[in-house]
Amino acid sequence: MTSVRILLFRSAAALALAASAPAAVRAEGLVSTKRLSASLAAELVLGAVTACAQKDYHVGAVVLDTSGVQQAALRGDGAAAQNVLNAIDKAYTAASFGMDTAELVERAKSGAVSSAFAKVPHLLLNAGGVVIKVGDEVIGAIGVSGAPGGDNDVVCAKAALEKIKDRMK
Amino acid sequence: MPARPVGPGRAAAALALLVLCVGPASPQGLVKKSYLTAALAHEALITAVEACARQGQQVSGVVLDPAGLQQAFLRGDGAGIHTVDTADYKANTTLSFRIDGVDLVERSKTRPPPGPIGKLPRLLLAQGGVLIKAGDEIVGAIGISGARGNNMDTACARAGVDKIKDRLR
Repeated sequence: MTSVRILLFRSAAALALAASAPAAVRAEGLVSTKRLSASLAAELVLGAVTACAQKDYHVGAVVLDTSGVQQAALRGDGAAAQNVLNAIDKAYTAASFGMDTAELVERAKSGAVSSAFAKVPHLLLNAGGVVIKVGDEVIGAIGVSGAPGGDNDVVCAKAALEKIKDRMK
Repeated sequence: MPARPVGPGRAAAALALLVLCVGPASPQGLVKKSYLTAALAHEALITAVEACARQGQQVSGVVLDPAGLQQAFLRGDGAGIHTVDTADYKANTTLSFRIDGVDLVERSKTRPPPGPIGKLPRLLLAQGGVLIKAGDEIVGAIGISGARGNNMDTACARAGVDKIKDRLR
């Protein structure tokens, strides 16, 4: 009978969903998330600012957790206040979508971009927001702004992430 | 009309003025201000936050440049939500009145606190804001918030300033 078939299908689908859901999503009544320790967050912003400074790029860097709350910020020598504000928005966007803003910029080229960008404050379609991941789980994002071109911001962010990645556990 | 001869009194006064005006107090058309490098701002801040953390105190902190603009920010592990704002207010108050918060609190016990406190934003009568000075020049301020009791925010902030004070030149 049709209804039985639907029921069977639903059960199978539910089972498949339960099996594929990562630990963080399989919550009963509480959601547990991770974020960087303050010391790693501090090291991350310094790492990004330093990596850019070595190329004579004056940037601001910000680390946000997945709630969009600031953990650490650093305005590099010669960087302007708006670099920090831009960095916040880049990190916010990456944390919110769970992907690097450079990837969002790529997607926007084929038209696949959320209409939220035009409406929601702090969403910014600019390369330089990079997600911080532990395994597959996004635990935050770093935003860098001030280098010539967002792609150069990304390089500094990733250099800093590389230095702490083995200690994110 | 013949020019009036310049008396010896005037000449002496002019000379005294000239002597007095040497240095940063005699701008011709530009005011020169110094502020911390990003590296030192960062180092002072993490030293302060860690000083508190070692004593079981969960704090947030900021370093502001002399214009009151944020240079470095760190939200400590477990620090309360409001500490992010109060750390900024404390540093800003300290800069604005050119006095450590703990001294301003003390002074306000015997005479009224400065009028703008309670009226203007980012001003707070509390301990935890500490000036960063290079000689007599104020080059920034650090604000720490979240520690419990007995001016511990101030002690942690001072630990941060002490760490870098010999390199302020």
